[in-house]
Amino acid sequence: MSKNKYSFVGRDIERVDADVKLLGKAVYGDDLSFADMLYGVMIRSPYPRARIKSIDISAVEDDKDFVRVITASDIPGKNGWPVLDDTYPFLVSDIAEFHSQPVAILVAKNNFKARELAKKVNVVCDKLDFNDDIFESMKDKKNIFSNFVVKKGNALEEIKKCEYVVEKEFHTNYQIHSYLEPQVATGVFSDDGTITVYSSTQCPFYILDAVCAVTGFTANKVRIIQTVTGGGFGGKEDVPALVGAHAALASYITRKPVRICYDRAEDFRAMSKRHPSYSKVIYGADKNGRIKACIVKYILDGGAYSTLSPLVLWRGTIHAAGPYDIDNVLIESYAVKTNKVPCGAFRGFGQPQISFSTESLIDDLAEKIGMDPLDFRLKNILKKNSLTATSQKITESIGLSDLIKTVRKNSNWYNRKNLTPSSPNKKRGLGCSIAYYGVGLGAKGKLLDRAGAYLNVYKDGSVCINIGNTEMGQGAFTVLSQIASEMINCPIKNIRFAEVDTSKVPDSGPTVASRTTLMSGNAIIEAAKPIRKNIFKTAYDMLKLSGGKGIMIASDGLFSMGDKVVKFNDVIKECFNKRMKMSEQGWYVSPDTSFNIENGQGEAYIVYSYAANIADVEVDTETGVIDVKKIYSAFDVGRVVNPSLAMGQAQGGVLQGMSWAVYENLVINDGVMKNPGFTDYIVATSLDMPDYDIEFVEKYYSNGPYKAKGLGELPLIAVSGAVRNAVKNAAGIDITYLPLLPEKNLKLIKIRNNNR
Amino acid sequence: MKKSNIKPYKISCQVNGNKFTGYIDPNLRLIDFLRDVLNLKGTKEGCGEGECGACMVLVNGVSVNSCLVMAFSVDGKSIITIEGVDDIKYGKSLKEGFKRKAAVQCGFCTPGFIISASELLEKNPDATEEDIKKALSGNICRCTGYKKIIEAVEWARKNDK
Amino acid sequence: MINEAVKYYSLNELWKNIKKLSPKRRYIAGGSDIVISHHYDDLNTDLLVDISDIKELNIVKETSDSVFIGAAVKISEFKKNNIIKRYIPALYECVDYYASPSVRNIATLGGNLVNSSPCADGVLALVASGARVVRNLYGKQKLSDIFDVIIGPKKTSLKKDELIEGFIVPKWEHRAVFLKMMPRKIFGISKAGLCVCANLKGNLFKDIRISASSVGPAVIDCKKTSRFLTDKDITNDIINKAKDIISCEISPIDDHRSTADYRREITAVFLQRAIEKFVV
Repeated sequence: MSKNKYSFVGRDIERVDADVKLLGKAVYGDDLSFADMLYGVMIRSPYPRARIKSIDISAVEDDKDFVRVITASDIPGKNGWPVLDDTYPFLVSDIAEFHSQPVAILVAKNNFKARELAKKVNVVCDKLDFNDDIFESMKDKKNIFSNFVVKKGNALEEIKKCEYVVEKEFHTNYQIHSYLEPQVATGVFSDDGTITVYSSTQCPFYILDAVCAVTGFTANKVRIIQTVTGGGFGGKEDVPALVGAHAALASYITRKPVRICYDRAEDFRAMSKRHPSYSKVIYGADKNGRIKACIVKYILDGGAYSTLSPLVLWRGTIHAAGPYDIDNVLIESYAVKTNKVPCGAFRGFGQPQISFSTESLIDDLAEKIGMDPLDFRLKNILKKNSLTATSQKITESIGLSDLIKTVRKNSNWYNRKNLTPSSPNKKRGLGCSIAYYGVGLGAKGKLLDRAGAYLNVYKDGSVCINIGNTEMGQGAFTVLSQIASEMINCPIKNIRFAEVDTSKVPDSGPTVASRTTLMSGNAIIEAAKPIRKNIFKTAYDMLKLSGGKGIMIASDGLFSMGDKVVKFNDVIKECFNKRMKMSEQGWYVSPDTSFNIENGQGEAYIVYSYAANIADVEVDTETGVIDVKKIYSAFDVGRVVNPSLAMGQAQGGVLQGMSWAVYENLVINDGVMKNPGFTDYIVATSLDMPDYDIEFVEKYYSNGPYKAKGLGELPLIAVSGAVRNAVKNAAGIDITYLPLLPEKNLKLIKIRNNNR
Repeated sequence: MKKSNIKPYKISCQVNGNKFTGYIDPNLRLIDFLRDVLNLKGTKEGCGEGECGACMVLVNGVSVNSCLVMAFSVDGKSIITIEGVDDIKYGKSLKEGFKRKAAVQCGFCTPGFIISASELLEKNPDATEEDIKKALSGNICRCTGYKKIIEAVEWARKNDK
Repeated sequence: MINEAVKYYSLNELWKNIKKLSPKRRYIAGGSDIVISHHYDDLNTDLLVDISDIKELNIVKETSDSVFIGAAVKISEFKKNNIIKRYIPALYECVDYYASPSVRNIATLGGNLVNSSPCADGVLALVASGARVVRNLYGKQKLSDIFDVIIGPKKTSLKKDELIEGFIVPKWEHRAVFLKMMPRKIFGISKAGLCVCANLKGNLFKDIRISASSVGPAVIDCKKTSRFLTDKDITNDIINKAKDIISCEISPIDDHRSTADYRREITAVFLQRAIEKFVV
């Protein structure tokens, strides 16, 4: 890493929003209060599929706290949530397609009574047949939400010529975001005919679209304001639009502010999650150990409505062959309807599932050939000038080989046979995996991949910035403050990011796809450029006037020339004296890519980030329990704008990936969730934390803000493959499903013991 | 319209050093009392079943999940929430540690962790890393991966004045 | 909907007043189970009787031949109490596996028994320790076997207004091993649990009690297995036979947490590990 010449970028600046959160004063969605506020509780379908006939409120309508029930017939606008398509109704008018689908909204005067009354409302309906199996469902083409093809070379022919071929089928289960703050929104209808929705969200503009749809209001009468958001991970990408629309509708109808705050069980049952998947993967290599062909069939269980499935599927498909240089690739993918809760965005967005499959199979192929799994990967990975599976040429910013060598060294890989287990009934092993991640929304999301920013410098030197992307804990406000500070050379403490408000900045797309640093960062840079020019010129003139000699140096909020120094605030005062323009809008549009949807060839993403992981695990051969002791990871995300925040994101993502791999098992029987809560849906606690050994290798991206790429999702993607491979190396069992539950592991261990 | 039969319960308690005496709805959980009656919004509800720890407060110096405790049961007791941690030992240094070690991301779990950690350090000023992990095992964080939180607690332990 | 809450500080006060209260009354001690039901489901009660500070339920005292633990003593207290550490090691051990640190500050053994979950960690320790239950109805005490109180999954034989005053555990020379298969490293409902309290003299178990949790409709007192192991020279062959016996003594099921096969397997593995811990 080169020496850091910057004052703010690349430094461990303390989070700008830590203080208010530590005081307990950060305003999350359920912390807001409004006079006369009512509470809405959702009434939901009691069956996986049902014809809804009526809502029976006879048990509650006489209660003094009951206000009313809102159903589909009360919707003034359109009863279709615009999320790619609009087949998902805001409230069921005819047939409910999944258990817990929203049917009505009960509004009451206080929160406790709203929940009590909702328990007594009866949904009168006919139970209908339902389908919860993707293969059954796929037989009817109407149930395929989306499908894609990637065709490079001629995989079906070339695979026949391969010396070594491996083929396996894999299954992965749901993952629940488990953001600590449940979904919440408050709709506030105003007598002047406008409506504001306060929401816990990653994408206020999606909520804007939904509120306009359900109320029929034009966009200039709707305002969405993001409240401090307690975690997202993709779970607050699209579905807050549903929650926000319900709150808006309820407020519009009752003419009072209405709060809708989910309880955890409800959040589990009704909100989006990571798609369960099936995949069949075939890799073929020549006698020299070069992978020559890859064939993938990848199916996502989309749940009852399409929502984001096409986008999730597309990203998964593009990356499905893995970060390898393979001449012949055939990927066919499908997102399929079932009568279960609709799935959507979750950190990794369609990649983690297929990464599990491919990284597992790559290890199996290396074993078949008799090669070390890391050497095999090094022999086959993408490098500069390689062509990806979509024939996109990698022109710059690729650190994959360095990443592999880093984790290999840090984990003492060559010495792994000498690792000692902690007791005689345990076996220990290391396993590896790699990943790549196309930053941004890619060719498929081109329409949305733009971002705006508004940078406003006040005459006292304080700065207010509005962006369209959100802070949800990942540190966006801090990282972007650093970029802004660097651009105009102002002290970080001068900067405040205003709450994200759709009336202040143009539609900047969703805060997803690890795009915020890149997109909002570049938008801020564009806004800052003319302001910087004004500031630097004014500082120069001031220094010259005061007798300064030589070149001007700008750093850490000060401007100096020789022994003369002026402070940022004083420069700003002078700028205002000169009536300079000190506020600007910025706009950044992601560069065009060429991509052909027919054969899945072309430039899919503007740039990629990369990862390598090694997991050190212990397997108890008598109980099947896996103990992940340590995870070594190395990431290439271009320039790291804030090292300690980046490390926090990396550690968090790695643990999420590990927790999904070994603990998180959602059980849905006959369309009904059996463990909708943290009691029986197990996420990692502090005692489950492995040791982390994480490094960043910076490969600058020429179009990135200060050469940065994107980080948020990358750390999670390939962890499951590393764990599975480590378990295989430790205990000799070949696992093809996630999560790696002890019950199944033990079965495999016993079979293996019996076979010997 | 049915008339309410609810008999309000009189409680007298200390919250963050301030005395509260009044009548409350017996249906309220402690978390509802803190957030909706006293307007102390720092304590968060993450799950309503005592699994996530976001709602932790100290009652008579001992950490409890306020979503599992009825409000009327704190009559005669002393409660500390995140808003009052500056007045307890390790409160300020924990907050400083969380800031310095970048242990706050979305912040929703943070009040619960500060409460847990303050109880730990008060009872065990020589807490090891293992002790810290054990004591915090009832607080879920989905953002940080826990490492920076543990470092923050260790910083507070070493630097408390 | 709860209309009223009342609180008493002694059994005398409780019995003097209780019959005047609403017929849909219900006791609350720690509340860690009840408050969740109140929030998520329906308690079917309109009056809560807070017994958490009734003095008789909050003591731990020893006599020459037994220890009495009040039903409302918080689980976290057991770790700090020397009487429990010395005489009821199973209870002392189980604290670290019982829910999470803060929930232990709320939960009680009485609540654990009354909730009568087949996974109950406190009950697991009590059964293996040889505990009996002190029930109290309107001032009249009655000593019962745990399995006269627990009569099915989440079902007790307690009459209306009858409460658990506490537990009497006889003093007997023994050590305890408490093993719990959790869904992660700590803090979770067990897939299988095993508690062995035993007095090992030389290579023979003189007294041994074994209890198993999460493998039947209630916690199981594995009498056949413990009888088998009594006074036998502990060899690998004996251990294997004991594993077979315990596998037949339990009746685990498949559910969303685990499978019957796995639970049976783990119970046997735990038995082996527990015995090995004693013999070492």
